[in-house]
Amino acid sequence: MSATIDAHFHLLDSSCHEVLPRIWSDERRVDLDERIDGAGLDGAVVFGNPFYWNPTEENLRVRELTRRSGKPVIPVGLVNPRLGKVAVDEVRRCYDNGFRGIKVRPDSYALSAASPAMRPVIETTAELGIPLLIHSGRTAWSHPLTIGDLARDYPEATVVMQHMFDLNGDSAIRVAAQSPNVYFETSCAIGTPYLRRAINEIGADRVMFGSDSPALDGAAELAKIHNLGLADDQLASVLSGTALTVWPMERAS
Amino acid sequence: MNGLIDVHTHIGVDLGDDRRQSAGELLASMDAAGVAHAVVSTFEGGPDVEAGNLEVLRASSAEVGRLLPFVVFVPTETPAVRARFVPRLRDWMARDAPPVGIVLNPTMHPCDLSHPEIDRLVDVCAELGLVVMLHYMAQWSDAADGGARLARRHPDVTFLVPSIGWIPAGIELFGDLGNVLFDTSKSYGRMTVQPLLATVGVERVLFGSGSPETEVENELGKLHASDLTDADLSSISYGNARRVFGMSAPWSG
Repeated sequence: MSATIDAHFHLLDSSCHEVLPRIWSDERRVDLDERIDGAGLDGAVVFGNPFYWNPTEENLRVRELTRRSGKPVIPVGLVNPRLGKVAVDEVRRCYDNGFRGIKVRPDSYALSAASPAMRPVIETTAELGIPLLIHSGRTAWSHPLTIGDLARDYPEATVVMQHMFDLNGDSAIRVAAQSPNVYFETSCAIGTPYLRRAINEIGADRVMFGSDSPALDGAAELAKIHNLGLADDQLASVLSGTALTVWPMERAS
Repeated sequence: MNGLIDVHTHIGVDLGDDRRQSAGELLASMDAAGVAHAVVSTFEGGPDVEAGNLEVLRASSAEVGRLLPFVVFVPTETPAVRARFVPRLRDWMARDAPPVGIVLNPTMHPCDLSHPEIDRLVDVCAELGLVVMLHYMAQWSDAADGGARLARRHPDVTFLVPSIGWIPAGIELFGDLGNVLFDTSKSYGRMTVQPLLATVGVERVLFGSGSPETEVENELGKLHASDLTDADLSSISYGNARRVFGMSAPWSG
């Protein structure tokens, strides 16, 4: 049985049902360890609610939750690149507080992943040696080709393309073929033929499992991976090996 | 053009879209294009929206009657920041150039416009006589339903929706709401202006440029090439805006 690390695991609290978009499921349990055990995970890459304009307080909340956790969790900070120096300072503060990655959700800020405002952020993550996780989707802001534009300019940076462009992964695969520093995370990747293509053409060692729980059904996202009919070594890479390559300082039990 | 009013301009800095315009640059462009008055707000995606609102208010105080300030509310800010907005708004109403409207940008700040907090804010606008700008951007369709429902719940408040009338679905969403006005920014000229006028009537269409993303003279040129009667052109260029903002005579400074 392969170890399973969930590379897209949100920690939410009751504030998520305030004026922010109501896209989350009703599950709002904040007991991180209980959720990890319940999902049968061996580790998780965790972050907060990506809709806050200035996510500093949200990052502090996630830091406290992960400090109290007895599980192998890798905290990732959220930043809004539109905030300029504030965003870069937040990247560094997150790193100093033990965060080992930064996530940007371009659609939360109507921001192109190829925006000039993204550059100081990716330069800082590259300097610190931590990955930059970028939500991908169907808008122009988070389209894989815009993520590809950014990744191509910073080959020294590690970029995790979350969701792999959900339904149609063709352009995502082309981006990864051109930029070896781009990894895929599988949550919300509805087009499983493209997911299978990515594993076969780009390599299982560049694809990592993620659930987007609790926004999405973690069990269904995991079943999606098991139903791909992967060879054992491919499955092991997707479920945990790739994540452990991107976060080499961490080891899930 | 006698007393031309531009109901859609911005000053400040937007790092994400690499735009900036000072008050001096805006005034110079108004002079060059023959614009007497302009509605001005800070960039909704600026690095410090609170500071941007203050910059707009200061610039408007220096040009009393010529610049009409709108202030931006960021619904995806933390509760503490959001709670500061209405008390400040009430304070600002005592200024020599008080706000004449607020801006909500559901594209830049994805939020739940059906939340009671938004309704309470719009109630305050009704009390203070403020216009609510619903500033959708290029990818607006998912969120625009919420904007139309918000305008329907507040028939006593005037809403201004920039740019959206150029998409048939936008006209359909807002067309039957008599309290919703449209500005002409980013139109494709006659082929889009005429269908809007035919559907909503000339009294609900106002000239707006969207400067500095667009150029005022180009936006004016499109309007003048839209086969309008002199009466319609006057209504769109200044008559409707004078009615909405309670302006009795063109600025003569």
